[in-house]
Amino acid sequence: MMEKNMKTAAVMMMFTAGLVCADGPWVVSSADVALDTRSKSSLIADTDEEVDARSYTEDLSGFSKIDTRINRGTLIMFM
Amino acid sequence: MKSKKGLMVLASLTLIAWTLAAQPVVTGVSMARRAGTRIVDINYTLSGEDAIVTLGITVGGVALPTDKVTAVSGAAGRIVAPGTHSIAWDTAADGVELNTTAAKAALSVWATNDPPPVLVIDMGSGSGSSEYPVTYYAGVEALPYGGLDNYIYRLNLIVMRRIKAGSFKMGVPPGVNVTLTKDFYAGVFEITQRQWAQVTGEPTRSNFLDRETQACRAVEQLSFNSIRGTEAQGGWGWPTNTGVYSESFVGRLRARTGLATLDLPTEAQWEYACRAGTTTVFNDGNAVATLDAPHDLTNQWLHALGRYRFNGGYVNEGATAPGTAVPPAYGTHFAGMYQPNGWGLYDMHGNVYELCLDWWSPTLNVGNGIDPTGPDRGASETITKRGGAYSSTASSCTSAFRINEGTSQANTYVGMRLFMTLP
Repeated sequence: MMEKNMKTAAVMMMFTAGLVCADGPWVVSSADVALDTRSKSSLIADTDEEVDARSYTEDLSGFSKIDTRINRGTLIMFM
Repeated sequence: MKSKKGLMVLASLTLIAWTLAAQPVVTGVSMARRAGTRIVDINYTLSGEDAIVTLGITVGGVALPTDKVTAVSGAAGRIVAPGTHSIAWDTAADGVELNTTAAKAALSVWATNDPPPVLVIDMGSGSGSSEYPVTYYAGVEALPYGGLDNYIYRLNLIVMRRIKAGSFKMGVPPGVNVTLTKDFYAGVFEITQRQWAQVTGEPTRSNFLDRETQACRAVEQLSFNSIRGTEAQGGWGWPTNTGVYSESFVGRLRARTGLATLDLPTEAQWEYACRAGTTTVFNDGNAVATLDAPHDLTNQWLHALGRYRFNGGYVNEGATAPGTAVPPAYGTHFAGMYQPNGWGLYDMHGNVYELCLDWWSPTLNVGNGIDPTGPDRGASETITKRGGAYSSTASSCTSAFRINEGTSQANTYVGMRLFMTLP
């Protein structure tokens, strides 16, 4: 019994040390859920609207000499 | 005897409870598609202490590629306080079409003193703004807008990578032992003309102003005083203190981001970041590379690593310095187009010299080798700079080469890279 207690304590101490010295993030997950994110073209009879919330608006009015184009394909590169 | 064992168990349980109480804990993670849209909402509850949460998605136990979960807004990638929070993931923007019954939101929970590997400062609100949002990412693959290839990371956004603490041999081989005990962030790119303008409101400080590439070229004609402030403004306190002038480039960034340790690097941090674990002349780890003549001038191994005098820095095959009205082919180079080092940092060799914090010492001054801060200023008014420039020959662009610059000098070959030391 005593030996078991010793083992239990040792395991707990190791676990605690692991928590204290943990490097990097903890990962916490949700439960499994059903998810349908198909677009209208592939989702028949679905009336969902597609929303693209990812945009980046630039105000370049103060920088008349600065190139406003951020698409790699429009910039001319010289090596 | 038995009670002693019981006490040990009790002590362990107490220690575990204390440890958990001192850590951020996330519970109650749920996920559902928002009706009428392709946005997925993820809710969670944080307790314990402030934390940074980043989002991953698994389907049937397999993680979606990180670059497919980038269009994320809400309580992700920034410091949040305990409470209930929401994240929105725009699957349409990421082009992700799922149809599954086994999707999971996998939240990574980062303590604020152990933040994620990538940090982005958004200066899109301009030089008059009082706030620049800071967002953390689990890796460069998780960066939105298509990742580092998008020029936005050389324009209104500054992207930095976390560098782990460690030891290395500093200087010309055999070098001296140096240990950096604190992790730090280092800019992926040198600060560009646009980034400087976004913070300071100065649109045309630099020498190379061709319309096609100037905004993404490294900013030059920077002085230590313009970056941190003059002596009278409180910008010369290093290494006694880390204070800067509130209206300097670093001062503005600190105030607007809340990141109080943004700064130039120490000379040791710079070389550690440049070498990225290598001990060779350049940071590609190629042991064959040499500076033996004629490679001290033009150098075939340096050609792919950064802009210097003989691969376009100067005109007429390295003979003539470019003037103000030069074609984009010469002078500084568009940031981040040469080969990065092993830690993902670009242009550590050449392009523009990068100013450091250390006051100049003709020989390496690393003290006891632990977190060196360079010499006390004394009567010095010159600062260490590293990395070489577009105007340099190969021997000035190595990982170990060091030289100095006056604090008020603002030459066309001097720029900077942003660093931030973690606690």
